[in-house]
Amino acid sequence: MLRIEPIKSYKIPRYPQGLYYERPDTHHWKIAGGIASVAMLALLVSSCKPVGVVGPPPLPPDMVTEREARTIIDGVFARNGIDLQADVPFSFSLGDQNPINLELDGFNKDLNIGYEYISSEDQTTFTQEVIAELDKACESNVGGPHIKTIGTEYIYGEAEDAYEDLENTIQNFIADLRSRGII
Amino acid sequence: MELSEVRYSALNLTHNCNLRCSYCYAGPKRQRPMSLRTALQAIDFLAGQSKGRCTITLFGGEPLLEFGLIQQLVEYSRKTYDSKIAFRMSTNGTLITPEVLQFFQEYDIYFALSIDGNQAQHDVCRRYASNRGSYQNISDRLQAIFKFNPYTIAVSVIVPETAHYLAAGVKDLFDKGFRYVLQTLDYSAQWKSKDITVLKGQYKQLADYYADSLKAGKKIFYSPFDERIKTWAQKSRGPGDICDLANSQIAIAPSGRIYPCVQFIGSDDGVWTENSIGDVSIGFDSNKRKHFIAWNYEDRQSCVGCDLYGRCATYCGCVNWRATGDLCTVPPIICEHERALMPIVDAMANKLWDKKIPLFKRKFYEKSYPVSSYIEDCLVKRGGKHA
Repeated sequence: MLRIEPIKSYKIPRYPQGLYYERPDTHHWKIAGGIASVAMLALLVSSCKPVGVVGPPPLPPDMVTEREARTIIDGVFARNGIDLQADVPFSFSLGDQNPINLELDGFNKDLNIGYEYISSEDQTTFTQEVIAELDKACESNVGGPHIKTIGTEYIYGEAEDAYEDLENTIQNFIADLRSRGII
Repeated sequence: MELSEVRYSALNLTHNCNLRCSYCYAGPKRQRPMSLRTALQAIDFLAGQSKGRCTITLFGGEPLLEFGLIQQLVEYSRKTYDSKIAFRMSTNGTLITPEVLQFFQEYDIYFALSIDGNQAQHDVCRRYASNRGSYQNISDRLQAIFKFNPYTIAVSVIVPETAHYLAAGVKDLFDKGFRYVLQTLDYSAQWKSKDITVLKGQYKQLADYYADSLKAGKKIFYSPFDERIKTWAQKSRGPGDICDLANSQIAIAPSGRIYPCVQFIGSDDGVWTENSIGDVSIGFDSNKRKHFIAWNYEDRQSCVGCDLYGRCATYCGCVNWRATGDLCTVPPIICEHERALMPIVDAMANKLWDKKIPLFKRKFYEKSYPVSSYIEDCLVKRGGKHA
């Protein structure tokens, strides 16, 4: 007959308890380690087909969709008194090459500032070189343009945490421009 | 008592099903689908219950019997609430067509597939009303399903009659291409001591298979093992962790009545309605909702003092309720099963730790494993393409 029988002297497992972190030295991690820049990583990830979380971990991570991200980012700009136009065509020169035609998720022509949330659809135009060049222009204290590029934001636990990360990224971007007297 | 936002809801679109699975806990199969009006009310209701994202699992009966309704409600939800509401589905898979997959692809709807194991095992319980087994029908669709989503989850139920198939069945699922197998016993079945002995032998076989797979770097998720390792390596369970019925997770019946969980819907009439905690047209009955939450959060008295408390499945109030009629009264089969399973799982995990198997360490101790694993999969896929 089946019964309930609390165990009073269970042999403690030897594998450790609590969050233990040791980065394994596998060839997979060597590949990942070779991806030096966050931008590069974002591009690689965004070039993959997103797959939502459908069960317990380990599963592919959920991510903040482009629509969600744009709503959040536009909101931060608006709260800082910066109105952005959506889906603005933007021509950008990369060194001596012919201008590259992009479309920005949000842009203010008067202030010459804007942003692009890089989703899988954007990875063909927002290449590593383009992002590097935009980042470089961002560092300039005059002229600009000041375009913030944001890699796909992943949701590790609560979606709100990811939304907050995104908000902070943009808020810091605006604060930086302000501190440098650009806006 | 502070109530949580509703983060997960099952939307039971119909009582009807084309299968007659022997362990099904849903009520009588009958043609009584959710109306479009109720479905849209349910979407509006759920959107208002959470500031963040709410995940709706389309449920039944077999939800794909109401594919037209699914299309309408998903389109309405996307248009009105955008990605605030995410859809998932639990399906028997027999009605999946290219049209269904195309629609799901467009709207990012992923589903868990009910498949018990290999054909011999699956067809014991999962049969059509005509008594014909349903395995072949699903098997024919697997290629298209994995093309749609290679991470599709297999959901498997074990009954005493299929216990001896367990190891072969699970291996077959992984061989077929599944990477995630969620498996549970039918705790309301008539289990006997000899069945536990059979299960023990099967789990031992599977432990070797699981360990070999991890050693070979094969990423597999088998819930009876993974969940129990996690409760030691990461965090033990507490009230609400695996079952937060009536609180952050609810279920909505075709009538629009709200229930603590799908297991409480039954036929959604007569005495079953006593379990209802509201209606999408008028909202929650706060007192009844709080009653269920408080009840579910009570200690499982029979388990106090047990060394495995917090590691086993006794915190699932729905399972307890279905087997014993009380959220906190644990059926003996859960205890017997955990006492048989836990030492096998821990012994296997000890070996994997001692041998420093990289995938074991990453899986259970690396916080970023889900995302690093996914990126890795993408890299492998990209590498493969260009190779």
